[in-house]
Amino acid sequence: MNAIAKSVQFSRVEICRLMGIGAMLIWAIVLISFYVSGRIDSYIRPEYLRTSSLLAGLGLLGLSIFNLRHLRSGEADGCCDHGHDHAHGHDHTHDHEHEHGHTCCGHDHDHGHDHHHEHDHDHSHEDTTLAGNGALLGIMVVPLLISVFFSQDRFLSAATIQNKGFAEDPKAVASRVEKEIAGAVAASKGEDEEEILEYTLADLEKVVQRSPEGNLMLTVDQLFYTAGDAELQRVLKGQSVEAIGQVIPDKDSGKKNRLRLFILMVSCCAADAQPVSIAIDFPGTPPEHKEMQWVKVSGTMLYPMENGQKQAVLKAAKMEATKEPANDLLY
Amino acid sequence: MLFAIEPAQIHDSLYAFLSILLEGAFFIFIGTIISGFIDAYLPPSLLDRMLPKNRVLAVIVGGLLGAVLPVCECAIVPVIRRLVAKGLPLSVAITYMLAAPIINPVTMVSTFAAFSERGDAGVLVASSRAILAYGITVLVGLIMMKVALEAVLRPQIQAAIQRGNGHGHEHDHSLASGGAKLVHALRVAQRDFTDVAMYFVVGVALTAFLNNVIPRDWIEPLAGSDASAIPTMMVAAFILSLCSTSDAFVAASLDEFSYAAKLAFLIFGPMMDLKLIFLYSSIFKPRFVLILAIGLFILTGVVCYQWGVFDHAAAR
Repeated sequence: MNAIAKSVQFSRVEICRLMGIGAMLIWAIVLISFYVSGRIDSYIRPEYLRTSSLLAGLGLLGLSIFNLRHLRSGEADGCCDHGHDHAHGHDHTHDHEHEHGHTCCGHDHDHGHDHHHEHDHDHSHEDTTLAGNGALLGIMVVPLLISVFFSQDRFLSAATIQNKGFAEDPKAVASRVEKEIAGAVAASKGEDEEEILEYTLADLEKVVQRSPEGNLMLTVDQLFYTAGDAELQRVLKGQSVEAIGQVIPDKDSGKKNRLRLFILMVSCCAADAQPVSIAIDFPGTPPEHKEMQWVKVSGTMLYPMENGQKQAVLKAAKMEATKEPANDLLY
Repeated sequence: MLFAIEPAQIHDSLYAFLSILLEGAFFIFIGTIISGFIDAYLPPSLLDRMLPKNRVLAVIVGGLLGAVLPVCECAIVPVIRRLVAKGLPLSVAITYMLAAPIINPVTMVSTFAAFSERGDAGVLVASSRAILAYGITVLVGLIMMKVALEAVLRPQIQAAIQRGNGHGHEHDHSLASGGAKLVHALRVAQRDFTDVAMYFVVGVALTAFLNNVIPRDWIEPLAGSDASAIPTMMVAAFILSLCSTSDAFVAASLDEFSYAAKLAFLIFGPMMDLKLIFLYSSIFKPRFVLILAIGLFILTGVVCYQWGVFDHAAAR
């Protein structure tokens, strides 16, 4: 029994190490579970970063397991130790130099000890050291867990989106949209993308599907891009289109019949999301809707000049609530 | 109250916070693993042998190390922490730390791509960013040659340096076997991860919150002249705390600002931002971090303003 009791007894240093391992394990579990559940796709760019988050989770898991297996190894690591927890068995005549103050998992607490003191100083602060270490690790873990449990994996507030500011230059989405439209048209004609200077509606219809109602089904970023492409404007002006996005009040134009339809474009992670939007104009007051609601809007495309710039405006005939799409962020 | 905050915005801050943590975890993990292996396997004397004996030359080389050892700003902090503890001269370490997130192939290519997408400024902005940042970091490194370690480093890092110098062998005598070295490396990695992650969490929490509640259009009226646009863009870079590998895409989208102001954003941000303030605090004394922040703000501002004067003259 004594042997068992001894085997489950931990020294202060070992408890300190265990706390660190526990904190890392929590990070590892969060990273791996987000990857496995697919929740990660609402947070970071799938290419590269999705895999790197899994690698981080697996790496932290491996590191935790390795350090757990070597928990009792005697080599000092500055984890809540005072430089005298060595168990190498060699002569430590020089160990007066090992630590100044004490360190606790890397957090220094300089108590202003004489550097050349003997190792018989009062250890009455040991408990607070462990508690302090726990509190510091808590900073690493508690906010993470709170956000994991409470985050609904998307932005909820219209104020957040307004604060981020809508992209104004249609070129912001050029690299994506050019490939989807000009590139696809060129491919359908067996030509080089650079040589496509003119479109016809028939060209566009080869790469953009029509809905059962006969609307060209375009995305918000594609429609936003057309505001900077005279050729596409020529083809699309007056055409029936439909697009899916989130709806938000338009605060800048001052028009009471206008809402904005937006989607979020992300470079790396959701924190850098930038809303890309088009205006949707109604004949009168916009129909009842919830801010941030996902909607499908259909109507006619117009390109009026506003503030010296062509705007992509969808003159809405119909707006209906719809389900949030699987890929709600545009990476 | 300058702005009202809705409960949904608190949620949105949690969402943004978690997204940065999930993205940054990998880079901090890599940085701390490298840090652990440096501690276990890199003899302090090797650094002396590798770097030029002439300290000025060492600083000049230090600013280019990022091109060879590309590390982003989150990953570099634990690495620098360990290199300084191993005796890398502070002047070289700080030059490397500030320069590496900008002067590395990934950042340069992404800057080129972001600005090429919106015109022909790709080469101009990418090369100016690298050259100006290099000049600034080398200058900071040269100034750091005159500064005492005690004024800058946390006591814990100073103690580690003294241990290394005092014995000249640190714990090598107990790490003779490969197994013991590996245990040591990975235990140090764990300690560094928990330490750096803690600072990272605090910095990211502040960033995520401010990023969501401060309206972006506050800064637009200040875009008119470089005298107001440059400091504004540096403050924006400080609060946004973007990764150096992707910040160019955000800068490029801020159309109302001049290239000089965008450069200030792209140079100051990777050297000093809200999350870095906390990460740097794991190595340096808070007072030094504050002085460094103010110094970089002024230096970057002046350099970019002058660049703007030349750019506007060339455009005429």
